[in-house]
This record gives sequence, C-alpha cells and structure tokens, in this order.
Amino acid sequence: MTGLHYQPVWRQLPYLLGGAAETVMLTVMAFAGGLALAIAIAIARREAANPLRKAAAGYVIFFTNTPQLSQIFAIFYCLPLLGLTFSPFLSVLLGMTLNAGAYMADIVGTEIASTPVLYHEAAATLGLGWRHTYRHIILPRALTRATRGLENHFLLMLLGSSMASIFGVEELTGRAYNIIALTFRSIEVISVVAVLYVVLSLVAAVVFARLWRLA
Amino acid sequence: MSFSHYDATLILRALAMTITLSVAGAVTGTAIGTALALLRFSTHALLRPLRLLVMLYVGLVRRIPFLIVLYGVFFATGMAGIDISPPLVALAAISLIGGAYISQIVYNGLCNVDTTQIEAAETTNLRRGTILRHVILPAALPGIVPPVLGYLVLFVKDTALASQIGVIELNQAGIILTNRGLPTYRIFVLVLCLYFLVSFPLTTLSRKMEKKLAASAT
Amino acid sequence: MPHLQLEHVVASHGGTDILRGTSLSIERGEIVSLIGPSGSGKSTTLRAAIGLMPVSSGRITVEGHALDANDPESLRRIRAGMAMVFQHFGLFDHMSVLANLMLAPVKAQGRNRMEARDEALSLLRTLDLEGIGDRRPTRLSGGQKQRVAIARALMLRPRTLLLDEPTSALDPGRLGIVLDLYRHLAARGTTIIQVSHNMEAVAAVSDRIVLMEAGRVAAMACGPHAADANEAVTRFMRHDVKA
Ligand SMILES: Nc1ncnc2c1ncn2[C@@H]1O[C@H](COP(=O)(O)OP(=O)(O)O)[C@@H](O)[C@H]1O
Ligand SMILES: [Mg+2]
Repeated sequence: MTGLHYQPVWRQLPYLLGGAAETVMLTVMAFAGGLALAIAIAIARREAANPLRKAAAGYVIFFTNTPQLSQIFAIFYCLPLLGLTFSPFLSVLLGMTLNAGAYMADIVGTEIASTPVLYHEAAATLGLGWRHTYRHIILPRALTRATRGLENHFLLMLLGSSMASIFGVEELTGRAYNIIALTFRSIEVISVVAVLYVVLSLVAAVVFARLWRLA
Repeated sequence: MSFSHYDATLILRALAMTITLSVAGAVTGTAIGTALALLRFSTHALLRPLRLLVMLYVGLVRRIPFLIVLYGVFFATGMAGIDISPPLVALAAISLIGGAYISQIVYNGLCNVDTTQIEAAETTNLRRGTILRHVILPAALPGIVPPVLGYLVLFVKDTALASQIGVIELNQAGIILTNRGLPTYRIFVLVLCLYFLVSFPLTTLSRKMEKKLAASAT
Repeated sequence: MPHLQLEHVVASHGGTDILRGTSLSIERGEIVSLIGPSGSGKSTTLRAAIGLMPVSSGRITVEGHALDANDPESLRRIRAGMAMVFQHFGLFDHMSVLANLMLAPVKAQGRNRMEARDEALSLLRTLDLEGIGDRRPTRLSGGQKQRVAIARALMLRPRTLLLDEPTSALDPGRLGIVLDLYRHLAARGTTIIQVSHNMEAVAAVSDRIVLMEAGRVAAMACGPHAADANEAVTRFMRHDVKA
C-alpha cells in the first residue's frame, strides 16, 4: 500500500459539493412529484371505479416489487422507442418519481384507511362531497400521521439517488466517479463522498424536524 | 435478432445469481445484525466501548448509499491486494449494509419489550443471558420478524446494483442482451417480470406473517 | 304534512334487526326526545333519519322527500336541510375549532368566509365558548367539545337537528344555556330530535317524549307536561337513572 493521499480530493471539493447540490435537487424533485402521484394513486385505489382502481393497485404492486435500477433502465431504453428523448437527469427523475409514487402510495394509503368512520359520517352529515372530504379532512390528517414514514422514504431516496450516476447524471456519486477516473484516488474519493452523504442525510433529518414543528 | 439458447442460459444463470446473492445476503445480514443488536443491548461494563462502536457503525452505514459501500468494498479489496470475485464483493457490501439495518430493527424490537416483564424476571435472580433467551427474545420476536422480512424483500431489489461491479445478475444480463442488439423493451419487460416473480411471493409472505403476528398479539 | 316521518322502518346490522318497524311522525318546530334502555335503537333511529344507516324496509320522508340512503343525489338534497351532533362529537382533531365550524358553510354551502366566521364567533359566544376558536379540539374538555359539536351543526342553519346525547357532558349552568338555545331554535321553526339520558333535560324541553324498546316505539307522551302524560314513559323516567 502506498498510503492515502487526500490532497487531490480536497482540491475537487467544490466540484463534489456541486454534485451534492444536484443530488439534493434530484431527490427533492422526485420526492415532491412522487408524493403528488402517491396521493392520487392512494385515492384512486380506494375511490375510483373498477378499471382505474385495479390499475392503481397494480401500479403499486409492480413498482414496489421490481428494482428501481431496472425500472430506470427500462425507461432509459424504451422512451426513445416512443420517439421521446429525455436527458439522463430527466429519465432518472421520471424513474425515481414513478418508484417513489408507488412506495409512498402505500404509506399514505395506510393512513387514509385509518380515518375514523366517525369522520366520514360527520363529513357526510355536514354535506361535504368526497373532494372536500379528502382535501380538508382525510388528507391533512393522513399526511400529518404519515410524516415519519415519508421522512424515512425521503432518506432512502436521497441514498438511492446515487444510482443516477449509472445513467451519466453528474450528481455526487457521478462526480466521485469522474474524480476517481482523473486521480485514481478511489478510496479517498469514496470515503469523502460517504461522509458527504452522511452529512446530507443528517441535514435532511434536521430540516424535516424543523418542518414538522412548523406544520 | 432473436432469443437464442445461449441468451436463455445467460438470463437463467443471472436469475440464479440474483437469488443466491439475496439469500446469502439475508443470512449474513441477519446474523451480523442480530449479533450487533445483542451486543448493543448488553449491559456489561467492559463491553461499553464496543457498544459505542456498534452505535456509530449502525448510525453511519445507514446514511451511506449502497452503491458507495459497494464501490468502497470493491476498491478497498483491490487496493489491499485481496483477490475476491465480484459476487463476493457484492455479498460483503450487502452484509455490511444489511447488518446495520437489521441490527437497528432487532435493537428497536428488544427495546420495545415491556420493561415490567424484564424487571419481574430480574427479581427472580435469573442470569441476564437466561432472561434474554427466555423472556426478552420471545417477547420481542413478533415485533422483529415482520420488519426484517420487509427489509429483506427490499434487498432483493438492491442486488441489482451489483451489476455495477461486474456481477452478472439479472439487471446486468438485461444490459448485456440489449447491447447484443436484442429488442430492448422485450428484454427489460422480461427482466422486470423475473424480479417480480422473485419479490412478489416474498412480499405476500411477509404481509401475511405480519397480519398473523398482529392477530396473535392481541 | 309531517316534517319528518318514519313508517315501519326496519334496519339491521350483520343480520340482526336493530330497528324492527319503527314508526314516528314529527311536526315542524317540535322538540322530540327519544329515551329508552341502552341498545334499544335510539342512535340507530337518528342515523337512519339522516341516511347513515340503510333501511331494509319501510319509508323515511323528510320535508316530503323520500330518503334513499343508496341514492347520493337524494341524500345530498335532504341532508342540506339537516344536521347531526354525534354522541362522540366527531370533531376534526387536526383543525382548529373555528375551522371545524367554518368548513361546511364555506365549502359545502358556498357561503362567504367572513360572514361564516362572524356567525361562528357569535355562536361560540352564545355557547359560552368565547376565546377557544383557535384551539384544537383535543385540547378541550368534554363539555366544551360537546358545545363545539352543537355549534358546528348549527352553523349549517339546519331545519332538522338530530342530537345524539348532546348534553351528557354538560354541567348544570351550560345545560341551561343549551336547552334555552333549543327552545329558541324550535320557536323559529327548527325541528329537533334528541336522544337523551338526562331526564331533567328531557322533561324541561320536550314537546313529545318517545320511549323506545327493542327497536320499536313502546310508548309516547305529548303535551306541555309530557313527562307525566304517559304511564310507561313516566315510569321509565323515574327509574332510569342510568341506562
Ligand atoms: N355498528 C354496529 N354493528 C353491530 N351492531 C350495532 C352497531 N351499532 C349498533 N349496533 C347494535 O344495535 C343495537 C342498537 O344500538 P343503538 O341504536 O346505538 O342503541 P341506543 O342508542 O339506543 O343505545 C345495539 O344492540 C347495538 O349493539
Ligand atoms: Mg346511543
């Protein structure tokens, strides 16, 4: 062993931090889109008429039982066949969003299902239609109760976003790979990047704690 | 170009690799995780430094992407001149990560056991090891098994990342066949279906088990 | 035409009949109290009257319209003139008291926010709940929750008010306030049906007392001294300290 040399890595730190920003952006966008999708799917799974309801249920089962990596590969290879060309970033964002939508539909759906019968009855006698009942009663309650699970999933997504590098997105892991190719300081780069991920996830946990206190 | 005998063999061997990695990872991950949790749950004063080490390990590793751990093990073994095959590198990485996650689950389960039960056992002068084996573990198991199963189901899908260090598992087989010019979408539909066939029964099983344990707990 | 009418209503839960031919006819502006032993079907009668409980035979009409729990459009139309206070309140715990009160008037009835807010504040004042508008229901006492639930129902300006044990958690002072409010509403044409175990309250406000037993109307007492007008009713009221 020739010993560890961190000098070349420190010089690239700003570049890595840029990658970290990209990682955060990718995760936050996929999380936001995934949450919106999850809410729609969770509602469809309970309320929609049959073909749509079954489709929503099938969607969740399919996406939670296959690897995200293969899903993104499928998107990456198949979209061009439909005449669509997405940038790597957009392809990965789409894949992560679809995947997150399925997992979070489960998380949100469990809480929706736990709505007390009395809430449904009270809403009905108040003359609230199903839209208002969902918008003002069922969803706010379900989402507040789902915060733990959603936060956990966000952290999993933050770590999972490293697979974007495989498709050429230059987020934190992608840039780590670039620096390794340049400097051959693989262990040094990987260890620094590991620390950066730990920091990102701790910061995310703190931000979430703040958010929940605000809400 | 059409699907040859050779291609079919490739896919099947890749499927076997995915299953092998998942099963082996489940075994080592559960073993490591349980050992670490028991260590962390111990009360012996001499083990204190070890407990802190375990806590640090569990706290950190669960905040590092699997891909980074995989690369880390890959480069570290390479640099140390240890000559091990890519599947073993993947297994090592899976065990490192799985051990951390599972140890957290097991530890939470142990902590959730009603303390009055433990105190009652302690007043009878039973040894700590005996209490652990006959009181705490049986009481904790219903809270541990379902989430561990749930986690292992997640892990089947994470083995797809092993493709990145050259392990020919399902996802990698899909890429190889695609690069050979076979129709992309068909290959990936096949790959996704095969993953589904492995994962779905496990998901169903863990859900059923969870329900059964929840029912028997009340 | 009676304001609310149940004719031979049969309703069941999981195969057992809970209402077994309940008949009841109530005039506009009447205050009717349902009394009877626990499990005799009082709550179920109210739930059937607002379409929360489907009816297997018989007929329910509200203001001349037949109620069909399986027809959402008819339900919506009929419920527009009704409100219910639940035994366990059913307040939405994730919203403030004021939000609970304003939700339906603003979202379902399309009323102006500020106007609804003023009305909510004035109702809270009437019910001796001044200053709790910003609190969550979880932070209230039982008696406060009960009055908030009453206020929420009154915000709908219902022509028919169904109350399931609406005074069980009130102290005598607040009970007086609530009973005065009932009389005031009834005098202005609101039809009120309450289930109650509080016999003083029943005697004080009822135009009619209906005794239920085993899913049927067993006896009925009317008039200004309803509590003494029927032997079976009087007997039940004397002896049923708790049911
Ligand atoms: N959701 C339900 N499932 C099964 N049985 C019910 C349900 N609700 C009420 N019942 C039964 O119906 C009967 C009448 O109930 P209820 O109308 O609440 O009586 P009351 O209000 O007079 O005490 C009781 O025997 C009760 O056990
Ligand atoms: Mg009742």
